Amino acid sequence: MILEVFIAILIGIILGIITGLTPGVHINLVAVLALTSFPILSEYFSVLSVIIALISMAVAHTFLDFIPSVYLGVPDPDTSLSIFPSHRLLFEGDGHEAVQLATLGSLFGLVITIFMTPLLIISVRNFYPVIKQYIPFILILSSSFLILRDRDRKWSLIEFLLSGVLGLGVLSLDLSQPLFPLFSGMFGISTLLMSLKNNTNLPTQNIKDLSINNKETFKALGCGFIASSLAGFLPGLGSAQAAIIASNITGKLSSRGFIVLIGSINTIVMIISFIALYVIDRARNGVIVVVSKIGGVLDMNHLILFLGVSFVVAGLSTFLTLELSKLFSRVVSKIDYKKVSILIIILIISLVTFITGLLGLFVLIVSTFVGLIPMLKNTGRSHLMGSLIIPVILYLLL
Amino acid sequence: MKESTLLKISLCFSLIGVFIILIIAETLEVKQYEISSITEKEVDKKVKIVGTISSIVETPGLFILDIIDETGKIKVVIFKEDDLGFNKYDDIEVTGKVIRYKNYLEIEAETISLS
Repeated sequence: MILEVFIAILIGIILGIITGLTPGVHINLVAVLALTSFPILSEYFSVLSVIIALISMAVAHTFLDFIPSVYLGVPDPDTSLSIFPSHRLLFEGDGHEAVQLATLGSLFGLVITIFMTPLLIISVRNFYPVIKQYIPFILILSSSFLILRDRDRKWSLIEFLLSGVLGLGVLSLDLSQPLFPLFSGMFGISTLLMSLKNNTNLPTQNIKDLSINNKETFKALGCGFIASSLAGFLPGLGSAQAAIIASNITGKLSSRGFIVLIGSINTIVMIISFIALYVIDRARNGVIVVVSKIGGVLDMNHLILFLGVSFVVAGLSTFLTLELSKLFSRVVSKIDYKKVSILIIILIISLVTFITGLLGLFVLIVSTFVGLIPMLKNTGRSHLMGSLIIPVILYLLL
Repeated sequence: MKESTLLKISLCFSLIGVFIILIIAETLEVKQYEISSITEKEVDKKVKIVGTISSIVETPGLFILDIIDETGKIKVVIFKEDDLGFNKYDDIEVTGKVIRYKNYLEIEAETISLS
């Protein structure tokens, strides 16, 4: 039994490395593959080991997905808000530090969430129905704050609305993975194009210790936890929305603190999705949908097992992420980053066309133009989250 | 190229592009099927069916409905976000993706409304 669990965890982590490092390969894709091949899988593996592998993959993914986001400038929706500060660190020679910060966020975010689980279960049982009604208003308020706080309010509003309409359109197209072209364009290719245009060269990367003080770290983790537990339980919300809420409650946070914050959020939201399945019987992401489909009813023992598995996976993933990051930072300083940027752009275009077809390619092009606007106007890029926030607000209100 | 020119170009292309995407989204009407005409060929395609709910099963995370029309019966899977809001014998319209689960075809619902 113990051996089986460990093998499942290892398989899960290997899958998480693959999905985390490859742009465009989402954990949901693997989960759906596992579901469709489950009749065959179940002849060789027990239901429990398939579930443990899926959960390990999901947790490992939230650690490793920062590596392509930092070194290649290719984000997940979950990590996209950290692209700007972490890209800046990369161009200062501190790419590895950006990964360290995000990993710090992921690891401690996970530890905090696991220790807070009993409290979360109690508060969600009591407050979930009440808070649920207010979510559209929390989102409207937090987006308005972000826009009003920006130096250039007019353009922030334009960017928010424009990306919102784009999001509404793209989500109603019949694409298999609508967010992939949308976010690769808005946050990925646009960043790469700008660094090509500005003719930036990558300096030699340093491997050094973190330079962030404890106060910043605690503030980032605290806000990450609060925002994630709000967004993690509620319909239509995920890491991206949690990041918006969090950036409002943090007040002033340095760019290093912000990377810790974003790093913590996607891991916390993932752990909370396990708790949400147990407490409110809701599947909050693709992996959990598959887990509930093949696993049936989940009891307290399962939840404890999942949290234990997450703990083990977190430890191993921290080590793996940091080692892989060292490898990446050695490699990126040796190669011509301009050529790499062009190669990555070609890679994204090919992957998008392969996964989502010509319509997806069109979405990618339009999203790239939309993504260039905040960079050219020097406004915060978080306004582009309107592409997810506006559809959610409309969905919840209508 | 100057940043201001680039900004104008980006803004123009964004607006035109968003407009085209909205038009495509509006015109991509999903085809309506009779239940018996949904076969292996439709797997992964988006379909629309109209029928009556003949049974409702609730599992953690899912609602599974049996939908019947004059031609046959099919299972519709709904991921839980909220309460279902429909009852047995309601006539409904479902759009969603056809998937294969074990050896059956099912529809993974995206939108459901009373018909």
